[in-house]
Amino acid sequence: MPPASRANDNRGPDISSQTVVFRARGLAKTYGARETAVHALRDVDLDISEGEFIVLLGPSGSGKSTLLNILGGLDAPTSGEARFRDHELTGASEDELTTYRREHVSFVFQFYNLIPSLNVAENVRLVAEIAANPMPVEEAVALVGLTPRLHHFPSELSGGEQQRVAVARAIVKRPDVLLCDEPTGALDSETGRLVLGAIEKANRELGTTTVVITHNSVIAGMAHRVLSLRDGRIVDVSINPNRKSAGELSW
Amino acid sequence: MVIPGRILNRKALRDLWALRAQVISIALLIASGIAVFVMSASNYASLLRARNTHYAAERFADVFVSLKHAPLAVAERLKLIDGVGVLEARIAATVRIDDPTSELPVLGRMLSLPRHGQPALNRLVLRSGIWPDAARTDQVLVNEAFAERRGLRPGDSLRAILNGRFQSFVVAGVALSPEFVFAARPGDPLPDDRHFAVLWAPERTLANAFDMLGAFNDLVLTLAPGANALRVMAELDEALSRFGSTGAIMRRDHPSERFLSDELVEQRTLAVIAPALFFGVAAFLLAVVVGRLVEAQRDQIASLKALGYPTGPILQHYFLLVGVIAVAGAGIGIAAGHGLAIWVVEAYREFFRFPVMEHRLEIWAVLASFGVSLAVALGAVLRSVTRIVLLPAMVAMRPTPPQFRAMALPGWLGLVSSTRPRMALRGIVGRPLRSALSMIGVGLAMPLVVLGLFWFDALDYMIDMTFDRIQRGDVYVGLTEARPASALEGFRRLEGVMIAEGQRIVPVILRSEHRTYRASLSGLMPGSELNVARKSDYTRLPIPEEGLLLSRRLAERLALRIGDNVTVEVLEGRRLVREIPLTAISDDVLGMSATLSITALNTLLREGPLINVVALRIDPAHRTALLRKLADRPAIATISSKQAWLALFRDRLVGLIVVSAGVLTLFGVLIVVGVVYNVARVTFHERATELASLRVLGFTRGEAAGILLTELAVIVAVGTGIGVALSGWIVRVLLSARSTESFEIPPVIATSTYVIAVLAVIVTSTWSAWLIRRRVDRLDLVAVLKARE
Ligand SMILES: Nc1ncnc2c1ncn2[C@@H]1O[C@H](COP(=O)(O)OP(=O)(O)OP(=O)(O)O)[C@@H](O)[C@H]1O
Ligand SMILES: [Mg+2]
Repeated sequence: MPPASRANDNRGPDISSQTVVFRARGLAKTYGARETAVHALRDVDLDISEGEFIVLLGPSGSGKSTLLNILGGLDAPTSGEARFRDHELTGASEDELTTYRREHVSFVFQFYNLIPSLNVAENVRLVAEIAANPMPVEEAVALVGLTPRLHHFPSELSGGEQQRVAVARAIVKRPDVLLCDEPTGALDSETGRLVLGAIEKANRELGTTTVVITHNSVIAGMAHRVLSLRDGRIVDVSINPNRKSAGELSW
Repeated sequence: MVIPGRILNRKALRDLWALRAQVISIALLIASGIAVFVMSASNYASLLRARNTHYAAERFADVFVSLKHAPLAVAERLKLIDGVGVLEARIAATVRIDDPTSELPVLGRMLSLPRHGQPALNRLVLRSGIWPDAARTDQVLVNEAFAERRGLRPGDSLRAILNGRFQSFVVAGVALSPEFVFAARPGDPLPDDRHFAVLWAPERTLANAFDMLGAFNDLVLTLAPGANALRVMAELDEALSRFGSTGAIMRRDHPSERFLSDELVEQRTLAVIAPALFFGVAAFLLAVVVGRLVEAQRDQIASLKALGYPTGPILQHYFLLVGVIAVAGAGIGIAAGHGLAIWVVEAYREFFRFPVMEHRLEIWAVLASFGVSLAVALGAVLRSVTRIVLLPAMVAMRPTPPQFRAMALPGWLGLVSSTRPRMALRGIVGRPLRSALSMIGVGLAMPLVVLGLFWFDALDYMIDMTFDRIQRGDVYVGLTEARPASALEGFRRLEGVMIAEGQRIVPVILRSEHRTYRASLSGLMPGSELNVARKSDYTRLPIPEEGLLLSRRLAERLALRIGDNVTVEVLEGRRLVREIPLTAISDDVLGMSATLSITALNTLLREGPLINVVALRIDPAHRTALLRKLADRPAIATISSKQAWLALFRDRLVGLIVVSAGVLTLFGVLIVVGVVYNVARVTFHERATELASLRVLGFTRGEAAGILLTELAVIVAVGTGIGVALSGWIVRVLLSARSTESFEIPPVIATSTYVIAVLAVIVTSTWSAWLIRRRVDRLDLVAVLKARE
């Protein structure tokens, strides 16, 4: 049953009958007040299903990062509600959000944010140590193809390699959700494909619900569903009938 | 036209504001150093000026001789000695002042005034009242310290015992003299104004009372310009020895002058050493804080330069930032130092009696304060600022977080199995220079707290050693002249006397090669219970049967070692000279003592078993009655009591020490706070991204802060270890720099002092940790991760 594209309804579990994990209603985020107020998000409704791979597109300043950060429990909306399974994200305390991130979420950012004083294995182990059900560190590193560099420090790696370590660190705890903000923004296309490949593998093999922000519309080809934002609203939703794998992308 | 740099200067001010807590703590450190400097420099200048003015205006003598009795004609002949400027003969006597209310005898030093007007030398400054009428024998001038303490005013009456006879006087006036700026009885370490007076009376009064008509027993003189002081003194000694001279004394050995110059040395030391410490720490902190600021702004600098912005204004605005801190610190320090100096000068008035002692804010000290603060502050940051600002734009654009590489890290870190402690340790090892400096910073701060507190330990030790272990008598009685040892029986029979021991004490000159020292040579009974020589570990040192026992400082002063021969020249009676071997060295705290067995001394003096001092252990219940009874005995010249000494000591010194120790401790704590807090802040800023990453990864606030705090804890712990090790050393260096002849503070530090200092470090560290923890809690994850460090 190939699902149809429904421009104004971005709620449905479109690709499968799997359960909704994220559910947002009337989500809004405003910075400042009155005349100087910036509406980063306005009245966003969104459902995301388990195992879904979503790409967020949109011009700079359209609210992509804001949405992602709220979903990941890094930021709180000004109004509206957001929940992940049984975790109420709006109005949650700092400690509840931390627990939520710790148990369910992993991030990958444009800047790799590795710990410079820890080597590859240790950067990954750092997260494994606080996870309930981590995969072996070596396995996570193998997934991003960096086994030979296990004992190198971040300063001894290229940017792409560092980003792959960041991905390994993100997937080692077998997260339920993987949130990536421009993961390939600083990389050339070939390295970018390697990194996306690793993300894709996690989505496919571990069933990790994945959201990727990008400015590169080619990457949207990997998604189950592509959301376009403009001025803090979701203005377009499209569903990929034929998903491409990371290796097939070119830019 | 736009002046490049105007905007940058605004940026400098905003940076200052952003760093205000650190800026304030560093400025306060500079202020502390400057405060001590301004205070000591001003005190030094006020004392020096007051002394020099007083000495010049009142014509303080250069040389002093006291003798037994010589006809005035002798003095006339001495005026002809080559090199003698003005010479004046006078009569000096020790008198007892009658005061039935005083437990201890009140002694007076009475000096004759010439027939007409002021003396030629050591003139007096009349503070109130009138000059005594030379024709009358019932008028005296009284020194101000005694008059104030006793509430004496011109017109009041006073009874004294002169040569065994009671005599009544009227206080004509109250005066000051350059001879008694520091008016202590000879041999006393502190002025006891209650029990010591200086009286001036017309010559006739003294001549009549002491059978000195046409004679003198005291000489003061100035040297002619270019005169050879030693030769003049040798000639005086030669001419006067048969009149019972105890030898000429130079001005710098005059007791009042010696105390004054000791204090001057002390202030000078303080003016240099303490500020050096503070500046060292402030410079370190500036280097760290500004270094980190510039490092964080290196890509801003690079992009400015890439845009073609000139280097000059960029450099200049960082220097402006540092200059503001230095100038603010110096300004606060000058104000505080000025306040402290006024307070100290007030305290000085109790000790040092000058006609005028003004406190002025010394312009040179102010200029030096600003100059040194600026120089130190700019010097501290010069390297880190220029290093980055002068980098080519392209190089600067590349960030340089610490480069961790597998090879460079020590293998033992692998032993730490958990990842987070390993991160903390790598944070330290990965910035070896910074970490070492931080540790040294803490290590320098702690000794300052110790430096403030150890005075109490040292005083306890001095009191314990001196009064409980060495001079164990409760009362020491000086006899008017030497008497047979059998006189002791009379003392033992007095009610309340538990032990009575005789001593023979004579003034001597000790010589070894070209070194000489005037000392009191004490003859003690072997096995004496009341006077025990000791080693610094308190072990008892027996009085040698034959040889001489010297206190360590005296032996060092004469460069003597055990086995060396010392020439002992007795300044009494027949002025015998003999060589005696040094056979033992003791560790006294106060004074410079020379000791023989009493029999050896009696033999040396070619006399029978004589004594002239009696040491007593008394029953406190009978104390008052006993002292009264002793005071009435005509054969007794002086009585000193341990209890009165301790009271005087507490009264005079402890308050002063409590305050200065308090100030030092406060400064020490300030440094601890400055170092620990700044190091913590800088480390926090450097790690903000890392901490934010950890939080994003799901680490709790506590876990994230824990890594940073572990790192700080290790730095503080190692720093504290260094501090403990350095404390003893710094205390010794400071003490040896201020060591003066009158007494030396022993470098004794009690365990409790270390505990308090370590606690101070722990408390400030905990407080800094708490501040950092709060910052970690408030870390805006989104903002930190958006900004690329
Ligand atoms: N801390 C803040 N204070 C004020 N406005 C903010 C803040 N953070 C974001 N904004 C504003 O919110 C809007 C959305 O920002 P957001 O970071 O979500 O954009 P984005 O879609 O991720 O853009 P980009 O593609 O450039 O990363 C922007 O207009 C931005 O200026
Ligand atoms: Mg964004």
